[in-house]
Amino acid sequence: MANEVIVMNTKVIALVVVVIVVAAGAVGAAALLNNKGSNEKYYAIDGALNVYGNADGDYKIDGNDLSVIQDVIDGKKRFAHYPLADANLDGKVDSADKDLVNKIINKESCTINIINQKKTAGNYNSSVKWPVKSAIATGSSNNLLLFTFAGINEYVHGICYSTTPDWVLFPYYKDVTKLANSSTAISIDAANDTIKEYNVTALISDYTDSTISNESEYNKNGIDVIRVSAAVTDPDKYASQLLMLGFLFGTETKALEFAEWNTKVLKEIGDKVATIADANKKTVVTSNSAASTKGVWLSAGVSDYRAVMEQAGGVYAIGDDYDIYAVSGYTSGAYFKKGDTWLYQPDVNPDYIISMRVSTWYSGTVDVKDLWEKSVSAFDESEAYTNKHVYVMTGDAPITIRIAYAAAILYPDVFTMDWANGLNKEVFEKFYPADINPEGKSFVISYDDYTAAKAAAA
Amino acid sequence: METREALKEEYKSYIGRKIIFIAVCGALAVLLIGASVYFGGSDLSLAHIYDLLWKHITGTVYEVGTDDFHDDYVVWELRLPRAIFAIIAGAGLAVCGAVMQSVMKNPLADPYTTGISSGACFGMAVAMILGITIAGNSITDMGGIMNAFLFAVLPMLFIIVISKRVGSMPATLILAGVAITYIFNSLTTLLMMMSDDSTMAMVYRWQVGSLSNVLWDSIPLPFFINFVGIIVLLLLSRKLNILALGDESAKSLGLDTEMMRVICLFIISFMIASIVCFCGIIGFIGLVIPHIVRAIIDSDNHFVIPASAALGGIVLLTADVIARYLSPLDAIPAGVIMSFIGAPIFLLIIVMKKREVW
Amino acid sequence: MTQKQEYYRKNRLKIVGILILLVVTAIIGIYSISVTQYHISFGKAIDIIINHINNVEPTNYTEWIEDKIVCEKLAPRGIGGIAVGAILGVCGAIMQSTIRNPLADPYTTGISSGALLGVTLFTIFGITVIPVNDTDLGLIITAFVFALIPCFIILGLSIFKTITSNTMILIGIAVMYVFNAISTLFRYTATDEDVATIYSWAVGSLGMVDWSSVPILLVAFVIIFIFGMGYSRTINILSADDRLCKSLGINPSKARILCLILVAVATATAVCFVGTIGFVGLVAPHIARMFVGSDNKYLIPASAVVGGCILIAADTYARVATFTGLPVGVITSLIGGPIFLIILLRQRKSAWGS
Repeated sequence: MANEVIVMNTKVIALVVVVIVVAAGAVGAAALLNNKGSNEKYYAIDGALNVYGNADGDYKIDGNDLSVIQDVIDGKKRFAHYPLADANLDGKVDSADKDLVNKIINKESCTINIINQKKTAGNYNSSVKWPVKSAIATGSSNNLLLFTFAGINEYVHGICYSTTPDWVLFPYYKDVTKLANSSTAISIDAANDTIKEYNVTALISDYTDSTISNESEYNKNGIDVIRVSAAVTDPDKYASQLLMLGFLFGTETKALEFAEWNTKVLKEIGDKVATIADANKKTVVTSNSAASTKGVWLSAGVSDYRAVMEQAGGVYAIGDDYDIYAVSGYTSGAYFKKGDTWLYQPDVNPDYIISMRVSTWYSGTVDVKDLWEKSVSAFDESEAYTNKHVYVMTGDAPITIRIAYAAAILYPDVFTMDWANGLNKEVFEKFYPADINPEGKSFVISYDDYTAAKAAAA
Repeated sequence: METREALKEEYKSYIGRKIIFIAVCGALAVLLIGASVYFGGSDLSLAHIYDLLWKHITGTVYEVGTDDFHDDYVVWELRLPRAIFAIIAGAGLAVCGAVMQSVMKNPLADPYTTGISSGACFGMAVAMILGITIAGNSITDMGGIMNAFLFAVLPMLFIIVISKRVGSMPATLILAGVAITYIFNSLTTLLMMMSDDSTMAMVYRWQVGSLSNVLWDSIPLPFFINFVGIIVLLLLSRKLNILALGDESAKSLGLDTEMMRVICLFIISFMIASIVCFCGIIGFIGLVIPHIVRAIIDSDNHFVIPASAALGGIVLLTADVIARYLSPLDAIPAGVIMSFIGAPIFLLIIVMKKREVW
Repeated sequence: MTQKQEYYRKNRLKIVGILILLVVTAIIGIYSISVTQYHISFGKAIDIIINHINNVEPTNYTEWIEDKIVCEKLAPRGIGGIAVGAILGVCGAIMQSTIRNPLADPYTTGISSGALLGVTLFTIFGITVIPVNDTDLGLIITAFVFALIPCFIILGLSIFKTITSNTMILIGIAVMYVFNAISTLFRYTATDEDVATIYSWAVGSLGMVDWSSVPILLVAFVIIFIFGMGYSRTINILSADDRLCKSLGINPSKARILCLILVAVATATAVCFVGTIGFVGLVAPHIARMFVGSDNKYLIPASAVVGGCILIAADTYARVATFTGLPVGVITSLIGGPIFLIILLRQRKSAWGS
């Protein structure tokens, strides 16, 4: 009798287990299938798409946004908590917003509203005819990098710049019309031929207030102005820039892939930096220009270059409590030339001085001696220089790569130069359309490199 | 009598010459506006431009984004107001120069050399950087102009007082003007260094005298102020002629010289301020144009004022056209071309004049 | 007291006044050694100098850098500043006397715009007069040579025309306008960096003065000073009237040109190291004149001392009170400008003749 019970129990248990497994499998399969279409991938980024209509504040506009808008209409959610729900910017959330979002989801042409950023004046709203098929842009190196990673190069038909970009990095832009000799203003008259030829409807500019000061004129001429900040170091903010461009030009996939990689790498760096004890942190200042008679410009206060150093784990020597305005009359930095002495004071005296310069790094033809002398010879009396803690590194590389190199310089036991070089290679392999191989080229010049070059030249 | 008839004929042809000159200059000015619209970064044929202008005047509206829409914008909103402003500014500056030279009996007086332009420029910098204005609160309305006016009056007062104390020789006046220009430029530099980079670049670019930022809404105030100013000065031209005879003679003819001087210089400062507000400092027009005009039609202010206005407008517009032709990307400002033309002429004037004049 | 004794007493007072001012200048100069962005107290600065003279070696970075700052930057800067101020003062006095115009200053010969053009050409196009490897030296030489071009133009024109004092001013200014126009045109083809360089040079600063430039400046000062003192009688006569000159057997035109050339060379020397610092040469002679009168025998040394004092005081103030971005040229015009205008307003017409 007991045997029969045990056998029967075993059978029952086996049956139950099979049923559970099958049920779980079914539920799992159903869950997988229910995941918004089998082609949809989930991207691990936190950046938001700053477009009105993206009511839930994630990285795309989709059915979730429709449900959020419906909730606001029904009163289940508060408008104040979901400002992006008002897609048509008429001040209220209603069915008109739902219609607009539907149009976006169905990829129909419409006019959408985006948030533009201005450094000093703050954010403001701009309307854009969507999808954007043709644009002109202000062409700083950082902008061009952003455009390439967002995959929108083929849509840009005119750029302006004052210093010529490295054509090795941007071969597409070599043949693009140059619209102006300055990086901050494009005369509409000069741009008119390009605008007509390519049916340009948008102008991509950056978030400095003085750039494109004739923005209202462009709007009157039917060109929408989009502002991006291509030099931000925060992974979420950079992701927002990529998302914006990807959305506007229809290159979301490419933009999302790069955003994801970027966020992952920056998180890795951040995690490793967090393992460094405060007592071991190094102080650093950075500059990005050559010495002129006025001196070398040292960034301070709110500056993208400073942010690079801080994300690499450096403590900025010109701290927020240091009154840089009293020294230089500017809030974003100060000039330092050979006769100056304020940098050597005990409360500033940095451990490291790193100069980020734009040059022909990716062609491998950097004149080491000349670049070094122009960039950092002004600091030759500083303690950092006597300790050989002065470096010149690339300012052309993508922002994340710059952070990697800076980290490798500051904390060689935690971040190796090989690792930074590897990242450099990886980003160009995976995400860059042009054939650029950074392998074997050097992107950091140290004091020893300089002395070697000097000896070789003599 | 026969001599009387002959005299009358001579006088008529004498006046006739002047009137013809003014008429020709005026006609040239209008034609030049039409021609200047051709130059610019965008390549548009003259026929197409006139077609667009005609259609715009007769009220055709284009659909946003079409080629014609963009061309119409460029021609009507950018090039046309720029040409009109050039004429207004050229006329205003030239007339100011002519009247200053009469009033101060100094052949080298002009808004630029006496430092008045620099003062006006400083006033604008104060409005732009510090945001302190007396009236209004933006740059395109009276706020900026009133500031510029206030700071243009200061050099003017200095010059009047200095010329009374130290003698009114041309050289002295110019040196005082250089000193005043230097002071105001230093003050502007000081302000510029206190502001951030982008404002500094803006003020610097604008200091040099460029017509790039001129749009339709920068036309009404300068036009009104300069038009009224020129008319008023024209009405005063008889008194100006008397002033030129010398203070004693003028007083004996019943003219209050001091009052006259002050009124004229106030009007001039206002005119200059309204121009400098929108295009920065453009030098040499007030200096060189009246000399050329006087060489052709003598010094009767009745004719010198309108002739200077016409010729001044033409010359500045030409300088702007040359600037646009040389740099289609709009890099070179008109003020630079103007100083390139005007400075050598200035040198020539000094070297070639007879010694006694100085 | 007889008149003669009265006269001698006055002269001695003048000399005493000049000497007192000299001492004041020296004190300010020594004080200035301790003033810098890197805060060093006065006593510490003196210690550092004493150590340096006794060849005491610095032991760590801080001591080493402080020694460097005091001895290699500030000391020459103090001496150089006084020298430049003195040169400008003397040149200004000579110019005002020979040109007979209270508004003349060393730059009236067009030097500032010539030097600016030289600097512009050098910075943007790399044009040098003498090919030199060191950029600083090349800049200085180019500035010097170009600063003298307007002077040569005036010289050349003097062959065709008699140069009255007024003509000299006007030609100088006209040449200044022409050169400025050319410089401005080139600036538009330049990059932002070059523009900042040229612009900062134009405003003037003592930053570039080091031990290698001090000897040159001192030599220039000595030359112009000796010339001024030796020629002071002629200059006195020149400042009165041209006809008086001729009746005394001196050719006024030639005398004027000689003064012009020497002033130009001395000022160009000063300008090529420090840029154009305005108003010192204009205001120093006026202030000196208030104390010692218009006799050039006393006016020239007094202007030298006043000029040196003004410049070193302005530079020290620029360093202590404001941010480094403020060049001394701006300070001198902010203070010197109003002083100049006040002086002018209190002038009497008769003091200047025709």
